[in-house]
Amino acid sequence: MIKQSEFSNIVSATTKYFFEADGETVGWYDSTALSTITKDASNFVSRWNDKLGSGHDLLQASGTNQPELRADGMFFDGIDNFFKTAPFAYEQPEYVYLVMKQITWSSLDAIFDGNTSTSGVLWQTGSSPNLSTFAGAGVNNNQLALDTWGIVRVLFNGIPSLLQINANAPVTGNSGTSDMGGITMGSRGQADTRYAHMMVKEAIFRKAADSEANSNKIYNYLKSKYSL
Amino acid sequence: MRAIFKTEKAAVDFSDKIHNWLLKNRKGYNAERWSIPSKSKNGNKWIVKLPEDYPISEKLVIYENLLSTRIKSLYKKLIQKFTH
Repeated sequence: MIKQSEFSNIVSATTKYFFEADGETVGWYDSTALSTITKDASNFVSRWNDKLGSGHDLLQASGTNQPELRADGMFFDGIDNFFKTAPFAYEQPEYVYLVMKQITWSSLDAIFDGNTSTSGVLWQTGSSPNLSTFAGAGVNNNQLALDTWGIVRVLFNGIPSLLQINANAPVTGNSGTSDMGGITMGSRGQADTRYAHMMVKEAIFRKAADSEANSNKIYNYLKSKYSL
Repeated sequence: MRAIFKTEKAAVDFSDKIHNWLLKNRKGYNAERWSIPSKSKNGNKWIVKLPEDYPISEKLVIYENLLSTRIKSLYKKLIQKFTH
């Protein structure tokens, strides 16, 4: 029998998903977590914090460059919107999970990149609606149709890296060996051109070559949450 | 809408004007500046994107400045007709 004096007022924090607590998630950006987003009265966002409090926050100090939080996600206008973290140690293996929509397609527009240009980029190349990765070399995948929500998984890990759309078979190959060193969302790392016209509901950046089982757990979390 | 300028200084001054307007008029506006003006592809113009909520009267001034002298007076008359 437990004595009353043994009850504690301490409430243990519980995590629901493994990627919240395994120490491998370097940035978790959730457009439905309004407490992590700093926006003005017109819903333009100056700050999108990492939900795990790492300090790897997506920032934008120039008004014209600020993406807009809409009812169905973060909107990047394809003209000049982007976010950028401060540089931080982010090296391969890098596994990125995105719930996103390509609104329009324009060659070399970047969905995300590392701190410097093409240090770990997902961009639009070839012909619409192809996406490809590049961190010294590239993997292509044209399975995410325009104006369609999908879950995109990107692994930068030399050989084999992968680019996977939804539950389709991943395309594997060599994406090169550059390290991201930070996160740029909506543009290449140099952030002065090639802005993607897109929407993002949620993005999870990890520093692990997740097993197929763990990758599918994250995929299933995102699929269930957004009814995809 | 974008405003196009012949000099970087004019573009920066206009960007600062927008920034000050937003500080006064857009609740919660949180930026260090409105923009760093970008160069046109041929490098001889400077471009500043306008916010959606920037007042129509200010946008019309930009249009007016792009018109040739011959039709400016007609344009001014049209503006007066629709804004008063």
